[in-house]
This record gives sequence, structure tokens and C-alpha cells, in this order.
Amino acid sequence: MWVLERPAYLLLLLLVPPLIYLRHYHPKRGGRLVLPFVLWDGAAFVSPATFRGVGLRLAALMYWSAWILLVIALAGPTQTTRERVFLSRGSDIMIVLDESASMAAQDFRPSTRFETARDVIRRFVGQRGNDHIGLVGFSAEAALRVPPTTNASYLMESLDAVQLMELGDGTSIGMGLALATLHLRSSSADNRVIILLTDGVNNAGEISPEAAAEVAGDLGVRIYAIGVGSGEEADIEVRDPETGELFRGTVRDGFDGETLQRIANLSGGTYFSATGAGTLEAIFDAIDTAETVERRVRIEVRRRPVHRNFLIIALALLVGELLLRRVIVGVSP
Amino acid sequence: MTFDASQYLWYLTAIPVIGLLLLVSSFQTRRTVRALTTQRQESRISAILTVKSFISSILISAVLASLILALAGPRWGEVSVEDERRGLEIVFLFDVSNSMAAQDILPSRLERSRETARTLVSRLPDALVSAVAFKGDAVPILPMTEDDVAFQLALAGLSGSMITSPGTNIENGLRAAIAAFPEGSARYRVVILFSDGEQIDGDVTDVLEQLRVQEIPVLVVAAGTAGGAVIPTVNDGVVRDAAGNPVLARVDLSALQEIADASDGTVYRLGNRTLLQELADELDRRSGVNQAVVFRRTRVERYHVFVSIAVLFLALSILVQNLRWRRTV
Repeated sequence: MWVLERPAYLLLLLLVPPLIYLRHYHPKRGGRLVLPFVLWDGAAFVSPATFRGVGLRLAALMYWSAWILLVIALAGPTQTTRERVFLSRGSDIMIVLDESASMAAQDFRPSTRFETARDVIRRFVGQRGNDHIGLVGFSAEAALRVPPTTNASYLMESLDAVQLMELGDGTSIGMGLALATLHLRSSSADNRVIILLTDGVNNAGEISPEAAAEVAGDLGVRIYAIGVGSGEEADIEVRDPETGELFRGTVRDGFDGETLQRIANLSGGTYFSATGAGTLEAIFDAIDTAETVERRVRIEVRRRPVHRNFLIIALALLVGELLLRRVIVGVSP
Repeated sequence: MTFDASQYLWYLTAIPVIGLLLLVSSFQTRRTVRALTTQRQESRISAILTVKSFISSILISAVLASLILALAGPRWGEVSVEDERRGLEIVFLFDVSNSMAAQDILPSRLERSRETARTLVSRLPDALVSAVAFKGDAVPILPMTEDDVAFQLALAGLSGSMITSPGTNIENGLRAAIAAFPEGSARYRVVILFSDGEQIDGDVTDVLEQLRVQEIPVLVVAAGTAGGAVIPTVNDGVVRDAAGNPVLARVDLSALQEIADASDGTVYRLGNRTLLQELADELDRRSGVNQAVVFRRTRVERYHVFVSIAVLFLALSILVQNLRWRRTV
């Protein structure tokens, strides 16, 4: 939004018309030499439309434009933006996302499990302005993609860059949970949560899911465990990011609901089963509601003065006018 | 009085030139008048002409001069503003250009910078930290986080080979640092820059103003000694210039000082024994945590005073040029 800090200065614009009259039309304006033509015998002077005339007109235009710009600059033009400022500490949320090949299964119509999960997470992050949200990816191994951060755009970019099978093929739920817990350890937030999204059975990694869940529970981190998959046979198509090889096939085996239930229980969280895109969205909405903490928000107005642009143009016009009128056209003061 | 954009003050040097041009053109006018008039008329006209053109030349020069002063963003006088912010958000900005590998500070400039940042962060449990590395381009390596483990990890990966573009573009670095502060935070923001300031590219004028407007001070840690050192290469050689002489990388304090001054920051020396304590104290002071109410003193912007003067003189010059002084002529 644009505002003027000192709008009263705009009244100076009222001075412009009388000054224009004085400078250009006042019959008795000085700086001119009145010569008697009584004895003149020749033809009458005709003012020709010359370079000189055009130059003078242009100079006048520049001069008065500069005047108007100066008055606007005086009025203090400022660009303001409103920004929500959070005064309270939000929650810390680690999203632990399965990146194994089976996440490419196309049973979440119209798209794959992974793309659906990515969309839902994106929307979830957009809703939670005040929280520190991080991302851990896992398949055969687990990796920290983003530490819990308030920089939502960084998180979104990293989420977009994730490719399936980057971390090998397998499902090491325990490693994912342990890594997420590690990065929540130094957090000062009162409320710390892990959201686990997986479609497989734990089959890799040195730490069992239950052991990781127990550690998380001891540190006060609750785990929302979400099993993803329709349970029916689904087509799958995935390209290995390293070799570029394309895999095609079908998957049948679903997630291990019992283990996920135990993970949730051990850490004081909740277990959900998402059989379709709609359910997954509903689950994230439920988490969003459940994890609402009281937050104090202030709207802050940020001001960015822009008078300098007006001043620069006005200065350039004034100097240009001077050069044009005095030097190029050659009019005396 | 301080100026936001003191580089505009250089324009003032053009004022005498313009004044001279105005004088020359008024001499020409007098010659014309002499040619057109009789001797009796000429003496009267000339007297008025001289006075009028002299005054209006001075007025026009004064108009231009005060506009230039306004452009430079003068500030004077202070007001206190209550500040509700608490705590800190810190962006660590690392210069990873080749000269940072110089070993005039052991084990190397970059290595010591990394250690300093690590120790500093371990002393600041409540701060949110972020890290950006820059060379010719800038790359954010850690988003704003409280996660100490992630910070240590991100710093472990810091090296000159992580960015391929050559050079030391501090403008890109500072821009990326500003972008690393997320919106909607109620904390004080600080950038800590580790650099030797050597052969800096980029025009920092604009980005320094952004830092000032957004009230982000840059604490500069100057990495390197005045004596300088050779720059080692990967294969145990040193960097040499075209003539085959080893290149000496010296710390350029003046460039770094400019950044600190323009953003209400300070310059520190890497390798100073008390550096960590100084930085910790400074950050503590800036966090506002131990004070009940923080008042921030800001200097008042006064550009409109000079624009008013310019408009006034401009109006006067119209009056001087166009109103008659005598009924004669």
C-alpha cells in the first residue's frame, strides 16, 4: 500500500499555476528587452516553429514536472506492508517421510501416494505460520532434509526437490524416527511432535521403530503415525535417480498397522490409516486442529520510504532543463 | 548529522561546474544586450541584468545543492522507540572464496571462522541460527533453526569447493543473508559476516540500505592479517599471478569497515583472543533479553528540510527572474 507521511505538503501544488503564469504568461515579466518597432519598415515577425521553440517547450515541461515531483517527495511517499509477527513460541514439528519406491504406487487417485503426501504436507506447512517445521526422509537410510525451521519457503523448496529412492530402497522407520528425535532434542518448544508417513514394513536400519518411539516418548516428543496405502494392488512406475533406470510393476503389500499403533502408543501419539487422498487430507486437518497452541500475534506495518526515486528524477530534470535552455537553446536567465 | 547514502554527496562537486556554466551564459547575454541597445540604455539594463543573473545563478546552484543533500538522506536528532522484540535470529555469512584458505591465521582463515561460529552458537542456546556461504554466488546452507546438531553438520560441510563460481561477491552474500530471515519474527536480527574483504565484487550500496531499513546490523569478523599470506592450492602449491609470483592475500579492512558502519555493526578481528567474549557480549546486549523494556534510539530522517529549502529557492528564482524591479527599462 502507498501512503504519504506528510500529505499537507501537497498544498504546495497550489503554488504551481500562479508560478507558471508568472514565468510564462505574465505580460510584464522581466528578463526581456522591449525595443521600439515604430520605425520598423520591414515585414512583421512571424514566430517560426523552430528547434528553439520545441526546445523551450520541452524545457518548460521538464521544469514543471520537476516541481511536481519535488512536492510529492516532500509529502513523504512511503510503501507500507503488513506483516504478522508471532510473539509466542509455536510447536516444533518434524515430518518423517517415506521415500521408498513403493510410495510411487498410483492408488491415491489421481496421483501417487508420494505426490499426494507432498501436496498435503505443503498445505499443512502453509497453515502453520508460527511453527518450526523440519523434514526427515528415509528409505534404506534416513537423512535430515531440513532442520526444524521457521523459514517455510526453504522447507517447501527442499520438499519439492525430494526424489524417491535417493536414499536407496527399503524402509527403515526406526532410523527416520531416531533422526527426527535427535534434531528435536535441543528445541526449546513446549510442544514437540513427529508426523510419520510410511507405506511399508520396517525392513532396514539398526534401530527398531519401537525403540526409537520409546526414546522419543521419554523426551516428550509425541508421534503421529500415518500408514499410507489403499491395501489393493496398485501400479507403480519409478525412475532410479542414480542410474536413470525405470522400474514398472505392481505393489500389493501394505503398511504394518500394528507396529504403527505401537509407535503411537509408546510416545503418547495417535495412529491413523490413510487409504486415499481424501483421508490423508482429513488426517492432517485433524493434526492441525489437535496441535493448535495459543499464539499471540501482532500486526506490524513495515514502512519503506520511496522519496529518493522522486528526488533523483526531479534533480535530473532540473539539470537537464538548465542544460537544454541555457546551453543548447541558449536563452539568458 | 549522519547520511544514509553518503555516496550522493559526491554529486556536490558538480555544483561549481554548473555555477560556472551559468556565469558564462550570463556574460554572453550581456554581450547581446550591448549589441542591441544604445549606450545610455545599456548601463541601466546591465546593472539590473548583472544583479538578477548573479542572484538567480546562486539560487539555482543552491537548489541543486540542497537536493543533493536531501538525496543523501540526512539524519539528526534522536528519538526513543519502545521495542517489543526479544531474542536473536543470527545469520552466519561465510566467505568461502579461495583467499579464505590462507594460513596467516591458523589452521586457516575459514577453519578458524568455522570454529568461532561453532563455539559461539554453543554459547547461545536460545538463538535461532542460519548459515549462508558465498563466493561469486551465495548458497543458503542452513535455514533459520534452533537445531544445534543441524548447525554443526552444516558447518562441517563448509568449504571453498562447495560453490564453483569464482570471486567474492559480497552483495550476493548479503542479499542471501537478508533473505534467510523468515517473515513474522519478533526477534532481533543480526548478520555475522566472516570475510577477509579481499577483492570484493558487487555494488553494496543498495543492499546496505536494505540492511539499515530493516535494522539488521552486520557484525564483521575480519579474517586475516594486514601482512597477508600466500593462498595454498589443493596440490600443495600456492596461487601465483600471471608473472609467476605468489599472490599475497591481505585483509581489506576498509571494505569491511564500510559494511559495519553502514549497518550499525562493528568490525572484529579473527585471531583476537577476546573475540568470542566480545561477540557474545555484543549479541547479549542486542538480544534485549535481560532488559524489562527496551528503548531503541533512532535518528530522525530530515531530508524534507532540504527539499523544502530547494522548493523555496526555486520559487524565489522565478520571482527574481520574472518580477520587475523598476518601472523603467
